[in-house]
Amino acid sequence: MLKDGISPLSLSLMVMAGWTFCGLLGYGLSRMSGRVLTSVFYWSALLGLLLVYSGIWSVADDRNDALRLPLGLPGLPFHLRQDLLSGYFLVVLGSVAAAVSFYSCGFFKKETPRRFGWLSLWIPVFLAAMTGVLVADDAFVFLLFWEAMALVSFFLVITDFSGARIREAGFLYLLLAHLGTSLLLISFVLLSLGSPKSGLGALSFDSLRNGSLAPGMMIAVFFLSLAGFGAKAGILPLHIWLPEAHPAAPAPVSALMSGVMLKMAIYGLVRMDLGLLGIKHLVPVMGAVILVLGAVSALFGVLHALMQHEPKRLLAYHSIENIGIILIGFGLSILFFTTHHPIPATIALSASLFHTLNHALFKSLLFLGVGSVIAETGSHDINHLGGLMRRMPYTGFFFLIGSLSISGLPPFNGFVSEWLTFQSALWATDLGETFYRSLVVLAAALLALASALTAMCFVKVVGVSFLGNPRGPGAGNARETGIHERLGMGFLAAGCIGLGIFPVPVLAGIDRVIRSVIGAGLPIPPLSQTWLWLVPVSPRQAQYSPVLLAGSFALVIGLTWVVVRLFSGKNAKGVFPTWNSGYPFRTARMQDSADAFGQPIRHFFSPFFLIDRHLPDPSDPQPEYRLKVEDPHWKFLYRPVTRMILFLSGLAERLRNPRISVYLVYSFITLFLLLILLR
Amino acid sequence: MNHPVEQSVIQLLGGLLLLTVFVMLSIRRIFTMIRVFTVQGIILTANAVFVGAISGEEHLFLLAFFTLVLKVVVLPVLLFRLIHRLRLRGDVEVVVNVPLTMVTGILIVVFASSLAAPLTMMASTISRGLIGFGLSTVLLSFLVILSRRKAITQVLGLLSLENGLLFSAINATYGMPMIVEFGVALDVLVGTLLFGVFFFQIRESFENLDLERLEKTWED
Amino acid sequence: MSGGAGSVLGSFFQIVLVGVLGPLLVGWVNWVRGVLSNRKPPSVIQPFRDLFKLFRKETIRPSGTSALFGLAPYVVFSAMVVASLLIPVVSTVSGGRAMGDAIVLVGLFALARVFMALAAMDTGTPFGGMGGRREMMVGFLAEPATILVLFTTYLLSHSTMTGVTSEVVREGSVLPTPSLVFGALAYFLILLGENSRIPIDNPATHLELTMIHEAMLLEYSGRNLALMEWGSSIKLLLYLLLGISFFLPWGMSGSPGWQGDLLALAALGGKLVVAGAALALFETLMAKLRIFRVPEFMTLAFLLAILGFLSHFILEV
Repeated sequence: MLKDGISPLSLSLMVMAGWTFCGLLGYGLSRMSGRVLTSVFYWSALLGLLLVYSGIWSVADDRNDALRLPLGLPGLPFHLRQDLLSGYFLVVLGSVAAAVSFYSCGFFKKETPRRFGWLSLWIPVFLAAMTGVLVADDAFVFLLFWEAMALVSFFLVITDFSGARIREAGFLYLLLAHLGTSLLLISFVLLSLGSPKSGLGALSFDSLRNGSLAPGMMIAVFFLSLAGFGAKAGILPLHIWLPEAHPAAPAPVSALMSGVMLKMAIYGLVRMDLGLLGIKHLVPVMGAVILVLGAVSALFGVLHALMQHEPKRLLAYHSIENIGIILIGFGLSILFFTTHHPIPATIALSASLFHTLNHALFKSLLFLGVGSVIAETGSHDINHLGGLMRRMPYTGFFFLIGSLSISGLPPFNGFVSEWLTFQSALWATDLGETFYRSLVVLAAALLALASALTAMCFVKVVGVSFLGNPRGPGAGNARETGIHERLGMGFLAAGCIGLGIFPVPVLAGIDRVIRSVIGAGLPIPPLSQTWLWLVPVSPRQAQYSPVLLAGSFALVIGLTWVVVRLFSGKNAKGVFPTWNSGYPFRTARMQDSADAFGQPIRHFFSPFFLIDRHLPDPSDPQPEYRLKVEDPHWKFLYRPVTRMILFLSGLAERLRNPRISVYLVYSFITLFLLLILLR
Repeated sequence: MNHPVEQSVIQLLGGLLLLTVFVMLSIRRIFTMIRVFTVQGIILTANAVFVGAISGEEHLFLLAFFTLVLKVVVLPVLLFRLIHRLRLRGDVEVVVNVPLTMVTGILIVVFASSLAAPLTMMASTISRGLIGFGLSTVLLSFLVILSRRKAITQVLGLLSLENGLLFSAINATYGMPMIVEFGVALDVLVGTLLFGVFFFQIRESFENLDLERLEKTWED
Repeated sequence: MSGGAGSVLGSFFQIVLVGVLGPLLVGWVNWVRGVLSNRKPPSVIQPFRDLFKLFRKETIRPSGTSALFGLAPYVVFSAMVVASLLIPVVSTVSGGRAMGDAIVLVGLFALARVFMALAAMDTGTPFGGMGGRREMMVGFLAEPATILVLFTTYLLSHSTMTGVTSEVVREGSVLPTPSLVFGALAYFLILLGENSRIPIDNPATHLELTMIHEAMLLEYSGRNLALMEWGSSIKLLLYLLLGISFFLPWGMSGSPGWQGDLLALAALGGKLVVAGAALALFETLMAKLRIFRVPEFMTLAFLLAILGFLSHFILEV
């Protein structure tokens, strides 16, 4: 390995080892010295940047490095590989890891040594496990790291395990994670049935890729893996752990889980469907299913986000929404590919991959911002906040950028991926069947609806928590966060703006990734003609120049500013009170609350919610308004399933008998049956 | 395909028919609903005239004339007088909320149009693309009936359903045989008259035209 | 990317044109409304007088506001100015390559809306919050509906570039197809909703319980208010211009040359006069909707847009 110099893969492995070492170091030192040594996170951040470099190296040089380590099962050594697809996701992982680690340097300063030891051990190990998932090249290694990732993130979710609610959230997460892993295990085993090799060697990705399966088996593998990865990504209806686990974990952990870990499931889906199953073996229905799941998840996520007043839970629902948007792109690409329209298929896939990166950046930015707000105000309810823009200007500014990005507004990055998704959905006319055509356009309509609702939701979050007047003492006494936190968020915010204004180089990289995975790329490769314009097909059909747009926007704002300052009246001296509509007084409680802001949506989309509302009585001297909005999946899916399982286990309970002879009878019967069966 | 103007007018009429059913789904006032029903009659008449002009099938003109008399003049006048005598005014109740009903309507249109696609291939008439619209109108009228509580609005939904059937028939096969059309038209007329008598009976027994009362009686 | 200097000059000309025509259009609509309601109408150039006066006045900073409050008028105004560069005004031939397509245009409008709503929330008054919330409530259906209208026009022109679309429609048949009629109807409803016109909002009053646009601007004064109002008038103009270029592009110049441009300018003036008068007539005839009915109104727009392209799929392929 060292003989022929260093390769991207070996660099990534070194980063993995470095993270593991970092974790052990942080844990050991903080335990031994009883002090909080946040400096390990500096190293962790640096390793994140190295990983970004390694990923870019893979993509830029078209590297496809493989390695076999003599570890693991007999007949199945560890297969590792870093190709372009892994490289791209390593960039996603590394950039978020770097920013979050840097943020953690400041954020964890006030922790107790015990808690810090826990966090400083598991966070870097979590990062290492995710790297392992990305460089795995056989099903065994993949599942090994996948399970490690799930377990470590479970430990991180239950960091504050003294709270019963947090333990419950952790348990729910663990349950769904294991459900997903077992489905994945089954799907890998089924897939290996068709592989040319036999024995454990059949589990390497190479032999899986070259396998041939019956079409029915293909479909089974596809849907099992979709459910397995869906449980991790939070696709409806397997999303219920997200809104519980994200608020439970500390902010940097939520940022990593939502920003990166969900993307591992996206990586898995792309790897499984496009890499292992092979795009040639897919059928249009699969694309349609993913498309519908994505569109429904997107709408459902944003609607429930609008109902929340707990910021982390709100962001968790937005993760469901954004995974839905990514899946819309992915589903579109499968649908178009399998109906032989490679051009819109590549546009959709690049939109999907680009949104993966974008979502990683802005979602972790938003989680970090919320983390700072919660740390400074001590409040988990945005109805108690207000006016933070003046007290925490940097945090407020970065959060605003994240909000504008997630709302899909130009010239930020979220807009570019949504624009590309629309551009590919517009090709619906080329599809033969009326049903698919209508489906694609309706999905695009839902995407537009979801993105407009996201804008509404973030006007709510920013407006209620950062603008206006403080609604509680916590918000009134808040102070700006430390320099590390600001730099960590600033890095991500710069990423959001940078990718929004200069998406073309990134899309050029994505184009190479897509070429390597499915053998076809965009008709006009980005960067091949100009870096100013983003042209999916032809300038006549659609083009977008974020550079010019942002430039002229800045120019017009600047000119307007100067001209208006020169020729207009003066500022009045001092600050004047606002109009109270004739009331003698006004309190901060009269401002719109988060629940009030969501009211029109609650009314309009009432069938999507289970609403429990308590209205105050007119004669009540202490009027109180309470509102609880529940996810209908609990009532209509999970509780019935739970009841059924309990019922079945109750039946099984009847078999239990205190007398040992009865058990012997059971054993005898079992033996008897087995003998008949295996006769 | 030598009649681009007529064709595009016919397509426009199909679109307008679909629009009228959506308007029926969304509005609350009975008077407006009857007016919308009148508009549907006008659309059907115009459609029959244009299809007749292109295809040269003369009985379509006769059909257009009868549609005009029955659906634009007689039935609306009957219904208006009925409402007048029943002294109904004010809002129509809606069972499900309007946006949700409309979204369901859109899904129905998608369903109907993909259902009609093979039929469209089989038909040989010039306006065969409109079969999907006709089918959507039929199904959406069903939705109107489902989503309303008042007996009179349900009758309006039924009438609109019949309009959808007629529209499909005109465009798929240049109309049903004349005798069938006469029969259906007569049925509709008699049906409306009967419904009128029923309304009075219902009101006298329950002092309300709300069908909820009727359902309660059933349970008792 | 030919004619860099020419296209910059052209852009500048277009900005000035839009900046002048915007308030003029609002003045014209108000004038017609005055005449129709038997009042003595205000002069057509009244909006200019208002703007001029506002620019001269002192600007007050309300208590409790952050920097965003002062920034928002500039963002809103600039978004409108930049948006005007994405719409063909007199000629469907654009000098250089456009900065973006119609989806970018929708995005710019959304950006302006978000900043307006945020600034309203920044005042910390019950009115501000109410206005911001209602604006977003109108927007969440209007924005996707606009995108769907774009889908409908795309079906005809296979392009989301505004210039290309109006060129295709102009060269196509004069007969409207069902999809275009549905699209145009939906667009008209969107225009009313997005620009706070009757029946969604009444631009003429400060009636507290029903207002949207005015509620958001309540605390603005002086030059900030002037920028907001100017931006809003440009927005109305841009919506009309976009509608004209999609659904009534006849009369626009299709070849370079100043004679064609002048003719097109005259045609545009005529169309705007008619459209403004029609808008005023519609507003005089309609009553304002209850605020709870507004989502239903916007749903109708959304559904019309969906019906637009569905009818294309059903009929025209």
